[in-house]
Amino acid sequence: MTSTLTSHAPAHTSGGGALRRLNFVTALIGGVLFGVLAWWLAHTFLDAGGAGYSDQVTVLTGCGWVVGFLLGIGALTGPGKWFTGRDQTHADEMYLAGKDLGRKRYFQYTTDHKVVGVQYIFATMALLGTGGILAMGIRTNLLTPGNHFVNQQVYNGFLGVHGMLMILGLIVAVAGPWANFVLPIQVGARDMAFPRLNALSLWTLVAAIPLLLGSLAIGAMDMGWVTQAPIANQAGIGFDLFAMSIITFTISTTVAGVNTICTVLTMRTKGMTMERLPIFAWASIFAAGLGLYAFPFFLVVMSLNLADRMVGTSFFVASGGGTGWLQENLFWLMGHPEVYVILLPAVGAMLEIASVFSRKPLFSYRTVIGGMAGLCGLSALVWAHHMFTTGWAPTLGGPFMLTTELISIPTGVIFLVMLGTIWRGNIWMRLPMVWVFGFIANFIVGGITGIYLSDIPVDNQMHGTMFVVAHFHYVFVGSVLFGAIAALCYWFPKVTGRYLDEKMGRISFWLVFIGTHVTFLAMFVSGMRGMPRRYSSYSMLFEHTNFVSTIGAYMIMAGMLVLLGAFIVSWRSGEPSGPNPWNAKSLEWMVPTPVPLENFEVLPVITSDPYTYGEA
Amino acid sequence: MSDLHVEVAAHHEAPEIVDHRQRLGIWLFIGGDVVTTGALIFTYLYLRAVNTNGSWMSVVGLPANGRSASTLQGILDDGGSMIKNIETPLSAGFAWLLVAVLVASVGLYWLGEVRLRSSASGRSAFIALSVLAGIGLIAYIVLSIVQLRQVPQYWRAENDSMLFIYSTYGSCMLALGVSAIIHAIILAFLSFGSATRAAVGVLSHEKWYQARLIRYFSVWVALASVVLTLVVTTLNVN
Repeated sequence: MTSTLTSHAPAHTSGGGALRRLNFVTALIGGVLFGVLAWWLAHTFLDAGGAGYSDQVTVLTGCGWVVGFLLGIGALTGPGKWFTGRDQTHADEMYLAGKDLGRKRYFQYTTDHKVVGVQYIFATMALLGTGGILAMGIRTNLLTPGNHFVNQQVYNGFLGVHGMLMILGLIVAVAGPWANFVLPIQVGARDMAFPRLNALSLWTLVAAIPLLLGSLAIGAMDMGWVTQAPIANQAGIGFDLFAMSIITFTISTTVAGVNTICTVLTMRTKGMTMERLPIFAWASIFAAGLGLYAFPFFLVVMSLNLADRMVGTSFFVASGGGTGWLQENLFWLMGHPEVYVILLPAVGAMLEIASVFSRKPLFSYRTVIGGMAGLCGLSALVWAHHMFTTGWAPTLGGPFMLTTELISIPTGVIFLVMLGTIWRGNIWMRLPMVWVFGFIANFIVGGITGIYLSDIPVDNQMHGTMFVVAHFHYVFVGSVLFGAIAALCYWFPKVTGRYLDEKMGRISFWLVFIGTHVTFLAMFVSGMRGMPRRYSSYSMLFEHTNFVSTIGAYMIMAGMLVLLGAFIVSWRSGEPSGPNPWNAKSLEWMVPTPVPLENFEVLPVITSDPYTYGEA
Repeated sequence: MSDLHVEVAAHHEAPEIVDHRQRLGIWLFIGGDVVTTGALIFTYLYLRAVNTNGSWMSVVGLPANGRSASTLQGILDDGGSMIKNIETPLSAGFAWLLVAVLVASVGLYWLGEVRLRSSASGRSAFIALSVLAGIGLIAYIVLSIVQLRQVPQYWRAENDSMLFIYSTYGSCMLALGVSAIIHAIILAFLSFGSATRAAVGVLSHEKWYQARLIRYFSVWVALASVVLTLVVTTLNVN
């Protein structure tokens, strides 16, 4: 099967309506036009002498951008049609699904889950790539003591925007591309439960990215990604765009989360019982559910922050009766579950890979589901460990220390299940599996240092140091990013019909793997010697470890560039892979490549779980 | 399925299956909204409980009363000083009036849905009741704006500039009020949209599922407004 929808399908001219004229370019034009219009209206009608004026203008301009962008891409034609009772015809739906549109469909409000998945791949690359470039700026500045590669204001901006770009990028790094491209096929569905909402979640995310980057251009925000009050109240107008981008992003993730859960729970094909569900599907719905719980707090904390700045409310302003502790509570009520929203899809993907490349059934399927459930439940009860040193509710320190330590149990269970799956397997050491082994090595370090930090006495010493930075980078880079790359290597043949270049992929792996340890082990030492985080210059005491960390960071960047090269080369002219290159048993490998528009001509009937390796 | 060039046939699903999926979807959205509302209630109760600097219902500053910053600056320049302003809670009666309007609007919509489901002739009643519900919701929005304008505003001089501020109680009432207005706008859109859809026959005696989905969300919003009003009218004075 080598044909594509483009090359053989007859011209299809009906359907689509106004959407035929809308695409990414019109979205950009709409966003800019509405942004300028909102800016002009705000300048004209708001009281220029009033407090919060510049914040009001900035936020309204950001709102204008988002609305204009969504109008320009066609996201709001659906509600308009709904309101007037002109529901979409089958021809409209086919047009929306990108039928006969060829490459154009990747630049439009396309509802086909596979197109949305590919769009998410590129959105993720944009987020992580830009965040990575900012990381290089940060590390270059820290290469030597007193280095002024960038000034302190810019450095602070880099820190905050790097942090948030990476967090957003990692939230969608696995769940975005693969819970869209793969998940519906895995459960035997023709599409996601709500295809138009699926496209909405993607384009809302895309609308949020320029806001975040725009915050850098207008002064950024100098309080780090945690947006701590009262610094956030005093920050420049860059913070307003930053907060707007988060609010927009929470809408995107909420919509995506609902869609993921509904797809798995209501669209499974006949015989696909919950006990036969691929583990990636389980991980996806746990992450989506946890996101539905966590991200509303993000929405609220950013909205209240903006209200303090724009209209003079006093939520987080101590002089007006507010308190920064409220901000911290609301933020970390989101902040810790969010770690598992990021981690779970990556772990789910790697469990799939571990089983396929070990040619063994997933070890203790029910236990790992229990582990994921435990992780989700406990993650909502640990937030205050981020506040041990703030002085908030000292008597609750003990309980929060206990819950934080308890969470290592379900985490350990998941980890043991991965090891148990690999143990005595007939391991096929292809590229995806290489990254899984990298994850195993890194996650041990990230996880165990997390247990140290959950202890109040240790946290009192280490809080606010580079030790904490090293810890969470081992989790996010060493674990989640490795998982995301493993997932990319694994499902790349299903997207493109080609293998990701094995040789370049392995070079990339060793550069990133060694770079990760060089960077962050040295950073642990900096932290243990007392180097505070977020500082743009430092004492000579930390000179050598920072130099080493920066060299390691360059190695990671070099590895990522090699991976990018592999991605481009392989997509264009990689070795053809066929529909099931890994001899895997889950449904996505049972359909042709490229995957047909509605995935299955006849929906399959499932009679066993997808991990029956080594069985008759 | 290797013949990708063939026309893709329409894979129509039974309305009951689509309805089941959409019901789960709306419950999940409501779940997210419950957390959002919970976070706002948490904010309200937290600030009331900690009462930082005794500022839950008091503000040191000059009442704004529609006056500009320069007017206030003039007062200070003429020897005037900032005073401690003690607030009283917003009118509980007005808050419950708002709830009554909202609940009545939701009730009208629900009644319309019942009529729509009961008989083919119920479509006209549904259209009328949906429009009435929408009008009720617009009234609710207008009344909410009137209520928000009752929240006292002050000017405070700080670092050579005049800052516009609210007490923490006033801040919470603003946040809750704005949240309520956003919900009411969505409900009004849905109510009027339902009426339009029923008028063109997309919503009918046979196809009433969407009306139920909207009712779920409406009832949640009404319930939330009752709970919030209960909180802000009983747990207001520290």
